[in-house]
Amino acid sequence: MEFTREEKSGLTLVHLTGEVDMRSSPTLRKELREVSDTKVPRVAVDLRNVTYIDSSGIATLIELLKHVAHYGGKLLLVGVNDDIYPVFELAHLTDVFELRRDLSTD
Amino acid sequence: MLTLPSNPEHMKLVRALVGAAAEVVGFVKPDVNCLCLAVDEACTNVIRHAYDGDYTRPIVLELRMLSDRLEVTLRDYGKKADPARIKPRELHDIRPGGLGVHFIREIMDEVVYDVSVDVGTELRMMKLLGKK
Repeated sequence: MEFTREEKSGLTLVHLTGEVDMRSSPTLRKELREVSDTKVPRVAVDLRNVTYIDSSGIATLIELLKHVAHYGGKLLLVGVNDDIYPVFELAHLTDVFELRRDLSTD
Repeated sequence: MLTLPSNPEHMKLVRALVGAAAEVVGFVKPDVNCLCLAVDEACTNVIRHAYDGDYTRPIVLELRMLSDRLEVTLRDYGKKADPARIKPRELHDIRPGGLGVHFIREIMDEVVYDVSVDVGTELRMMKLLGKK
């Protein structure tokens, strides 16, 4: 799994590519924690190029959601594709996360 | 039948094998992806709980491709699972952790933790074609 970070006005956008699983989640957790520690008003995670996500990846996103909400920020998950959307459905999280097709709909 | 070390690095291989076997049976996406997820989560639980994070222990994976179902057997030689304590968490409780067991039970049509084996646990899972 690879990630890149993009800073915009009041927004940090994290692009993820590849598979988010037990092996890669600890690294992702550290990266996302660094982002939320800045207390940026909006955090967006771009998942369009994520081909797989397991419970450890979902747990990492839940942690991020809680941390961002704690300081009053907002988390968006962008580009949740057909490969991974069913996992959010299985976890009953489609209404918990704010899912966007792209940032332009914000 | 495949024996592999209990290392997360090998989960990609497990997913590829399960995905290929599911397609041979006739499953299509998103069921193929869900089957990969269920077996992956089961392996993760073995690594975390049966082997306490030891990446060097054996996991034996067996796939049976039948005309109407995929059967998956996962054998470990670690701490025995306690079926009474393996419960999915309440989904209204939004928190990290505990989702893996929920995924397995939600995706598979049959899940049996057999602790009658001498050492470890044999987890047998089955998914019928064309159900759910």
